[in-house]
Amino acid sequence: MVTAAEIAGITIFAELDAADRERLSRAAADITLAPGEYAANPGDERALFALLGGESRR
Amino acid sequence: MKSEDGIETVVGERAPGDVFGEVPITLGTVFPVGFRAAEESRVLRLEPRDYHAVASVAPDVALEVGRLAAHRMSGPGGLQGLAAKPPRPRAIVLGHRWDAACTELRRFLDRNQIVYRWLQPDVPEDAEQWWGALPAEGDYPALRVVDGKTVVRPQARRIAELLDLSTEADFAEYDVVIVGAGPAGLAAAVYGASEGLRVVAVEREAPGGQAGTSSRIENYLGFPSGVSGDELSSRALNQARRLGAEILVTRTITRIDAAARHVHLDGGDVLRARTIVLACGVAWRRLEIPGFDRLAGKGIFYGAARSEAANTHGLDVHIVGAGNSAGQAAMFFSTHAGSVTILCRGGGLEKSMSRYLIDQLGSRANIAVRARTELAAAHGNASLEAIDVRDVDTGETSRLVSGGSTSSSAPTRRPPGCRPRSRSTSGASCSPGRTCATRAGGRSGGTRTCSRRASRGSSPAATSATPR
Repeated sequence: MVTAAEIAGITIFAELDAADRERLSRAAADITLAPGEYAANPGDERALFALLGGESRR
Repeated sequence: MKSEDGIETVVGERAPGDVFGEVPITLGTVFPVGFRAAEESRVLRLEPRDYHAVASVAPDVALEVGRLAAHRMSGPGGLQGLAAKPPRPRAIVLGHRWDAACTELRRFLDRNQIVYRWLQPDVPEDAEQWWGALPAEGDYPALRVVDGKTVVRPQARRIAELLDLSTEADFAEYDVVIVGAGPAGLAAAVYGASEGLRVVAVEREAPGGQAGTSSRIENYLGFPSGVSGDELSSRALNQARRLGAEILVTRTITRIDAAARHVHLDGGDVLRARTIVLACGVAWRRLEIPGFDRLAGKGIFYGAARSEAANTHGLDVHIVGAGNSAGQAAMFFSTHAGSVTILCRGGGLEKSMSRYLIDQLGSRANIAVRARTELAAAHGNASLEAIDVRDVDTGETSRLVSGGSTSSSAPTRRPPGCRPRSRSTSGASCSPGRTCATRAGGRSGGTRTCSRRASRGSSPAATSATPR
């Protein structure tokens, strides 16, 4: 589960007020990826991702 | 990650706190590249409606995402630069324009989506770019793997091995062995693999089957603007592989022991299966017309639109057949060829071709239909030089003759009895000089080609090309 505090750690969401961060944290899906696993494949439908921890390569 | 010919390249990295997917979310497109975790990672995913809900109350977020998207797109390392960057060839083909073996080699590479460069030994600037001595005349075509070996007159299996295409099964036993990797075989592979089954599809040539050669498919569910056969095949292949299915190419099945559920491959390999799916598809029926077999690949092509269209620049193309495949091939060739004439044994296209396609054909000034006409013979030595066409009502035969030279600047003459080219798709016309004909069968067994009735579902396309 993504928390409002973690939302605040995402650069583009840093300036959101507490209520919006809370709303966003409830809407966001929390996904754990193993090394080598894809968050998105070429051709996948649009969505916005943010990296909470670890490293992603595109 | 950008994938090209199965080789992945890292084009960027993201650290905690960074976002990705800003380009698709801003432009409303699919992901142009993939994002893979370099280490164990946690990501949050926002669906478009949730993102837009936030953006509507916090415009700065939308502005920042838009700015990031513009940044990612621009510059030589950006997505725009990546898209503009030509794919790196994996192989160089050296062979003559009208050499059937070279045509077959190029077709094999095209169908397996291998990026390659084609050099013609009789074109001086091409020959200069072939590093080292040219092969002996009898050794064409030659193939050189970039940074790898050079082979002459290679067989498909050898090419596949050199280019790291999958030809050997990883296991001896599978839950599902699928015979054929056309759309049906790949669909079976996707569904089987997605259920966790160990699946292998065995394809004798290239994934995609007959549909893979189609220049455009406009009535496939889920593609509102249509999709080319090779794009459809590529997507299906990626999907099947991503789900874990194995796809073997250049392997033929020599025998199936249904009782033991053993599938025997060429070379003696045997795959044991719990289930065998036959998705063999169709084979093109060859036209039994004098000269056709001899000139196949030398100006006459079956189902060749995607791979051959660029080589017909300025030529007059004749397409044999009146089904949707013929129509789509005509549309595709018309963007390269000087003229395209559909040779149709019936009175018109209406009984065998979809309405939307007939309408599209009618909008192209360089496409004509010659009705009540069948192909009678093909002539030429090194390459196709002329075709004979017969009026099915009168029996009168006329010859569409080239200048007798393979040079594109050779003179041309109008064949006897040639009527002016018509823009009507239901009228009759012929074009002088260079001819290049594609045979294309029709849909659902209802189409008559110039020579014979097309079998159900088959979409043969024999192209004959006689340079002006």
